[in-house]
Amino acid sequence: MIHVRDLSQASKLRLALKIGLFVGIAMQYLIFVGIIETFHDRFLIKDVISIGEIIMLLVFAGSGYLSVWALKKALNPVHEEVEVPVRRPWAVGSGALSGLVVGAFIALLVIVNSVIEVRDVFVSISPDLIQIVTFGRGETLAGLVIPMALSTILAAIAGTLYIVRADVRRTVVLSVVWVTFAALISDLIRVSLSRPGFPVFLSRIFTSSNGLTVVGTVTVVAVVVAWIVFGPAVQEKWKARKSTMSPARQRNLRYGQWSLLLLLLLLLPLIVGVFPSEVLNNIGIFIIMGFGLNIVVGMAGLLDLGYVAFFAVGAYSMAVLTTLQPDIGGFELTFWAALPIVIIITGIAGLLVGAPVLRMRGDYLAIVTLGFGEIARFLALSDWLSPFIGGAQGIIKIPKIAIGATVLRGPQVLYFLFLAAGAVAYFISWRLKDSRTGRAWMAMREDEKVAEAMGVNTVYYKLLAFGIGAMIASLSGALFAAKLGTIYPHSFSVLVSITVLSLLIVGGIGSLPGVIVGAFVLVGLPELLREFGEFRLLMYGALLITMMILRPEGILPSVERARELRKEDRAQDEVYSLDEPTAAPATPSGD
Amino acid sequence: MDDNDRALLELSHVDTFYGPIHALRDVSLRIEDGHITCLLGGNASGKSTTLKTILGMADAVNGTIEYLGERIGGMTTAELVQRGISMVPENRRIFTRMTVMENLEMGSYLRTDKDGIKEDLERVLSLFPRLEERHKQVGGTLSGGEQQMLAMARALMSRPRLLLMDEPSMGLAPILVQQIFDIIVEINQQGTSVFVVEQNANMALSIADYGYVLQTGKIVLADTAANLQVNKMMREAYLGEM
Repeated sequence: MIHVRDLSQASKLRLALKIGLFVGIAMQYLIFVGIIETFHDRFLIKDVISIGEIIMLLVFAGSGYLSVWALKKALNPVHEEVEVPVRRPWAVGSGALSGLVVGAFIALLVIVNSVIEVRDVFVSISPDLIQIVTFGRGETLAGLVIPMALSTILAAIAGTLYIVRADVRRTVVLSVVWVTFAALISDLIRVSLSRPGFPVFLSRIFTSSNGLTVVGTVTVVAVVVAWIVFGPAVQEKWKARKSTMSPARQRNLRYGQWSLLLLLLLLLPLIVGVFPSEVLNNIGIFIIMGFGLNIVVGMAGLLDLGYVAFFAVGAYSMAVLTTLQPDIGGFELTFWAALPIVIIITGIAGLLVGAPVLRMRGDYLAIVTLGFGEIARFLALSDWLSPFIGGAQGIIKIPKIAIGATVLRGPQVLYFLFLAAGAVAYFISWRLKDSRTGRAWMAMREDEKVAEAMGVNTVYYKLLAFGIGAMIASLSGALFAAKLGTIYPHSFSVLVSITVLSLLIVGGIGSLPGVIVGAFVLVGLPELLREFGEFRLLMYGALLITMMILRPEGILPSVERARELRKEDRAQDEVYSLDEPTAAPATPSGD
Repeated sequence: MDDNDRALLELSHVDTFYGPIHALRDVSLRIEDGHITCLLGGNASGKSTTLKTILGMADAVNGTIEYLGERIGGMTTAELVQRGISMVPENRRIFTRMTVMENLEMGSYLRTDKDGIKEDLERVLSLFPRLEERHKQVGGTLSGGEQQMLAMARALMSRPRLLLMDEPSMGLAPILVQQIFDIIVEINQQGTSVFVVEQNANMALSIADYGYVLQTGKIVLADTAANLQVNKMMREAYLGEM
């Protein structure tokens, strides 16, 4: 039976107004915390549009897109075979209305600011900012009209976009995303293109000292369009060709792909240059830690918020064992001699943290481990331990890593150590994942009691997870200490634990490639965007919330996570299990 | 019941406490080798506690628990699984995020005999053909009945001599309950002794050889299932006849 579902005109308008209000308030927030102004210094397209401006325009468009999305949801409250479409006038209208509201917020800000000095309370509301949000018109009539008009038009276009053909929509959305991304990393592109061997004009054509050039932008858009138009066909053809190949050739092809990847990884520091290599090393620190924490949280399901403690133990024990500082340690070992000791010490630290929390689960475990993380930092800071580990002064004079007589200097060389350590951590995680141990962890994560009833020794496996997780973190800590040459307690704040956990979530918890992607997004991007600095935590928060809503399984989810979170599978399954309503998830209970 | 026979598992005068709560009082019962024994009782009568006590998840304070003549009180769950005791937990409690196959693999976790595992896998899949169809599916996407089957199959994968079942009928439609109990009989016929804890007395007695009735932690009735089915007190209190 087909129900004719429709909403009254008034409620449709109300919906658009509501979205406009929400987005308008969000826009005001971005303006008031200073994001728009900070990012205005950087161009997206040289001399055409700044990143601050594109953020505003995207918010305008976003309001239109959101309002049509909400309208469609309201028209189709439950999933039914026949979808009630959003008709074109309403798509344009809802979009425009919500956009108008968002624009009106800006106009209101300009008016209020001309009457009273808003800056007395909100320091970010500077005359410069007013110029930016009015697109250079200031407190004039045009300054009021232009944001409103722009917002209305863009939101109407975005609203229409929601109901047009999927490939058109994809083209527009992907173009915007990739142009923005290319602009954000334009410095990197510029450096990479101006290596010796490349003609000088290449880097000049596509990128400027500040953002992309017009040519660069057009190129990016052209690539996106080409991908959308020809991509599927090319992929199809490639797949067809691959399936006709002999197994031996397919295998060769796979080996070829892997060795190409390896070659690329080995040449990466040479391609990108010194500063990006330094960034890569910082990402490497977090990738290694990510692999370690993934074992503890992703595989064994033990939510550890104090992971930084193991990073700190690794760094400090490496520092104490190798430093040339006269009053500390006195061991003066080489990096390589110290490394096994560092790993063992940190492994023991892992067991020490693991033992008292064996009986704890979930929230309790999280709180207690959070405490352990802070304890580690306070111990490092304490006067009590300062004769041994330097207290607030930290430890200096940690020698550089040497192989034989060659001292490894500079980020481009150190990169290989991070690559090697990362590869080791990856290999360990990968082997553990499908092993008997991995299974036991998985079962324990699911239901500890039942795992025990299957004969899994949960005490042993919990300690094992903490121990291996700690040892992997110690690799990262040891390299961190040797790379910097000095370490201070403040490097080991709770923020490190949060970053590692966030990168797991963003990448897709339990997924090894996800760790790498997550580290690039959460550690790499902020390093490339100097302006990011003060908004880092805000961005993390926003990114995590967005991820949880749009893609809870992470960017590159593991197969299992994708499986359990994909709704289609469940919906499809309900069709099969007609014999009875799906039982509620089992909850432990006893007599 | 013939007292000269050695029971597969025997509880003698067992008391179990949950903190200050005296959950089991002087419980004695026998699980006969090769038979189906059921333990009946209402909510909070101590049925699950009996199972937990057997499996070493709750400690008996007094009395003895003997399995094949060996005292098993104080052994870890893993040791008991290795000795051939296996449990289908209450509410099924399968690993919802693991596939059907991975769940089954967990059942044989302590075993190392690859050929035997393969053999048992074929056996349980022929017992539960539905699971074979869905072997790649995640446990959580199965229907309630299928989850119960998976929980049973998982328990069988350790090749138990004694299968403990906690309320297999809970939350299932009547037709499925019938199916599950038919399979319990089949499992028993293949040589596994079964101890089933149930609220659904009618259903349990229809397949069991022996039955015990537990009331607030005490055994109040013990007899063959046939006798219990005609017992006056039993009929009034549990079989819904006035």
